[in-house]
Amino acid sequence: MSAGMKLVVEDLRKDYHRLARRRGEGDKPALDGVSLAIEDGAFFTLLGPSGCGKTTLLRCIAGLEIPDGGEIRLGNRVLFSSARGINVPPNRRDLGMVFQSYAIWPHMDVSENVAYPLTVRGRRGTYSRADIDRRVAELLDVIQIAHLAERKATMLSGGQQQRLAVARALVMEPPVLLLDEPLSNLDTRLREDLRVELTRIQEQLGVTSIYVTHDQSEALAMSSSLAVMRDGTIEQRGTPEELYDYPRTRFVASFLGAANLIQARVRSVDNGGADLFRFGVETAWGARFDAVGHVPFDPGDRVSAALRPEGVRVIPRAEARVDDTWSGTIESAQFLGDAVVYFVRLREVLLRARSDRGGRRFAAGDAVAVELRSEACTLVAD
Amino acid sequence: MTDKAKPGVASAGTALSESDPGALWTGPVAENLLRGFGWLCLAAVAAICVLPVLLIVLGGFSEGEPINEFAPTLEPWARALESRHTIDSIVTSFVLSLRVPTAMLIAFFIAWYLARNDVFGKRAIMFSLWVGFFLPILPATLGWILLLDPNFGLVNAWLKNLPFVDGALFDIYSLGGITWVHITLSTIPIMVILIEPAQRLIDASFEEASTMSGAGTLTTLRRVTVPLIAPTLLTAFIAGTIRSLEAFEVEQLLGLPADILVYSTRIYHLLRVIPADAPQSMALSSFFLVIMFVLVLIYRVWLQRASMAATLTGRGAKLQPRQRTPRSYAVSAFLFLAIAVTIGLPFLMVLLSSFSRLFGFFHLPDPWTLGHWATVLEGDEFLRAVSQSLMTGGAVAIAGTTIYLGLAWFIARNAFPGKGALSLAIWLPWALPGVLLGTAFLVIFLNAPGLTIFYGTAVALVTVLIVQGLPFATHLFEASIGQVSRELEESSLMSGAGRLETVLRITAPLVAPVVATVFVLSFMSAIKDISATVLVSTPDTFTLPLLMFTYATSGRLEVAAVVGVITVLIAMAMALLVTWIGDRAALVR
Repeated sequence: MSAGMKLVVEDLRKDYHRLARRRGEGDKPALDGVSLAIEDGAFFTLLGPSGCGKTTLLRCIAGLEIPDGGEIRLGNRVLFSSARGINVPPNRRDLGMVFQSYAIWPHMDVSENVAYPLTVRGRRGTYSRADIDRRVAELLDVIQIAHLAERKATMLSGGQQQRLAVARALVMEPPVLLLDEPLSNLDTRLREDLRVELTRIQEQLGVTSIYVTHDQSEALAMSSSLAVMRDGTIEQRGTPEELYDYPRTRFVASFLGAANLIQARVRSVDNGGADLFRFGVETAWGARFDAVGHVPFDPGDRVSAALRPEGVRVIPRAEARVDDTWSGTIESAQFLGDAVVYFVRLREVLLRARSDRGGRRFAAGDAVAVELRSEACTLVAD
Repeated sequence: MTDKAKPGVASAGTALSESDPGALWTGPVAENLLRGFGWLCLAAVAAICVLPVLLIVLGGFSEGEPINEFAPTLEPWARALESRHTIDSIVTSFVLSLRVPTAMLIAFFIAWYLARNDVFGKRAIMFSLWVGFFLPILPATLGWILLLDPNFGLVNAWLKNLPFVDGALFDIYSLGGITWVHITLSTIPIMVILIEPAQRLIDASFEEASTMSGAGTLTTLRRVTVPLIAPTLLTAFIAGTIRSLEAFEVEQLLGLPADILVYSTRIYHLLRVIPADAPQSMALSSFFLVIMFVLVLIYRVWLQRASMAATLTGRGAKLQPRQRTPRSYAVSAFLFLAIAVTIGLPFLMVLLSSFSRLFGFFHLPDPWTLGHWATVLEGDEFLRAVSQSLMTGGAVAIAGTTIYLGLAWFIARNAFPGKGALSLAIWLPWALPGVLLGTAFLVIFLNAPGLTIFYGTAVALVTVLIVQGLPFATHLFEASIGQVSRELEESSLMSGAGRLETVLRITAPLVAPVVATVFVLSFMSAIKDISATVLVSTPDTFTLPLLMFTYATSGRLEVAAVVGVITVLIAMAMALLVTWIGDRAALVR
């Protein structure tokens, strides 16, 4: 894997309804001019709800879909370019891919599945039988299913099939590994284990990975960098921390971490340096609080404020130090094991607050007040 | 990655400008070349399917042979419409075709039970069904005549000994008799053979999910299983109906004494009875084309509605047949009994006939002889027919399976303009009864410039048989490929395999049971078919069934029975092969 194998996507377009005679209202393009650059060795995640175009983008990179327009380059190699009339077929792109269904071939055993990419016609003669055996064995070892080598592919558990799919995708040492929701068919425990595993394998082999998921916790936990997609475009991209702490839009704020979104008005702005602004904000019923954000709003602007549940602290109303604009009632409580989530009725809004289980406990109907931790609140564009 | 750039592998995509030779291979030029080649193949297939039909339709409007002596007239049609026999034979054909839905219902239950339960002797049952289907229809019909003839049938004679029975209880020369022979020897066996592998391809968890939703077995079958294998069921139904309309030998043998005329025998009479009226037979066939066309249109509409969702996903279908229960043993016993009666009995009669001095006379003093066997085995023509049959069968099987699979894959996996029309054109060879398909090819091989050199060669025979098998096998492949998840193929592409390699190494093995079925069916067409080949063959290219047909029609029924027994032995070998491959494929899953 040579350095500088940067994957670049430029203005990629794909519209499945392009040729349809009558377009329906909801027939939006699957990809509406997507541009991306993914650094060598990155673990890059495409995150978004179903139908946002993330799988289409991945399949275009794979070569399984032919985009209507745009360009895809890997290092200095052009994989697709509508302008130049280049479309490298998927089997010549030398990329690895893990499918959602794993696509394990039921008529081969585990080793045969893994060895397959090394035995295809385009690579025949490149590897000796001994080479193939050695590489398969090495990889099965890395993926930790060496003990299953002789087993029929259909005799594997879901997690084992998943590992096998990863091994098969990596055996030809692709510069880029594409993963299409590979964990979505597994149970929670296994999913968390394999999350750790995938990250370990990716770090150990240093392969650039593009990972498609609709699961925000997967995206935050695994990625070195991620992009949130919506309606065929990229809504925001950055590191997991950047996206979580400073979402730019309501969509990103609500998709990552289930933020509370409340309508408010900007009272004051202070450019805190870099491109981070500090705002004074007031709700419709007069509650005032501080917020940060990357979007330069002006005083008087109507905005949405995203409040992270873990930034909202619940206290008994009697202990509230400030005015009663932050008083409310507990509507319901959910015990999550390591934490408790309270739904607090505050005038016309229902706030979600997350507390450690060690703290004070409240029950439905309790009169409470809420406090906001500093920098828990971000202003976002609609 | 760049360090292991191999010619044809990595270099293909390192195109940095239009002038790069690598770009040529992957760019629009190569794509257009490939596409052009694809179109050429498709056009050839379409032409081969359309041409004979066109000839027949034209022939219906001409008193002369349609290529060189075309003389336009409506007379043949007028004669066909005036004849009382036309309506009679069409009504009778329709009544007889009702055996298809009946047989299908029975076959579906058998196939489903066999696929989902661990039934004692399942392999033997499947094997017997194959044998039944491969049993040459001509001697088997003779076997049934020996059993159920109202005058000398053994079963009727034996039943007369019972109290309250006088006269014959069964009459083989009737609509019921024709239906019985068809349904037991071909319709039910072939339907089970077709439905069972399709059933096995479907993940059992679909049915389990329905059971867990509180549905009973019948509800699950009706609302989950049947819709899921609808493509296969529809193909089998349409194919069965069309086949039933053109079935010939049984109708000829059993219908003639009772004055029952069906569409195909009517056409045969028009072609063969003096004075022959080929133009009228072609007009009648054109009429049949319309019926066929309507059936196929209905099929297309249904197929589009039926969910074509991939049911064999990459997660590996779970196929643990249910354990044996007293009930499964009872089902097994019943199936064995049914097979013994419907398949074993006529075969036994054929075997006995081959050793009998006089066909049907088992109570003569000293009725047995080895003479007929000696006659056949010592004759030159038998050996020639065997080698001719094996060679023709091999060629049809290899070339046919390749063409059918390639064509089906192309249709199933690609969107292209004219796809619907091509899919329709593929059905066309079945619009013609075998005798007429043979006639059409005879006209082509005798008159078409450039093709006359093939007349009287095995090439003509192989072509006719491949074209005759094309509609069914292609649609069978199309339906089963539709049930293989695309991701299984896509992951092969991502592994670096090209499309051809993917079809050969992934798709074909996954539909192996169907490949085996089609391979053997194609092979057996050379061992079974009489109607399509009887006209295009010459004494140099005689196959076993034609030899048998010649013996039978020249009154040497005992010798025909000998050839019949030998054909059955070949059939059994083929049945062994096909069930063995099916089992191996089942082990894989």
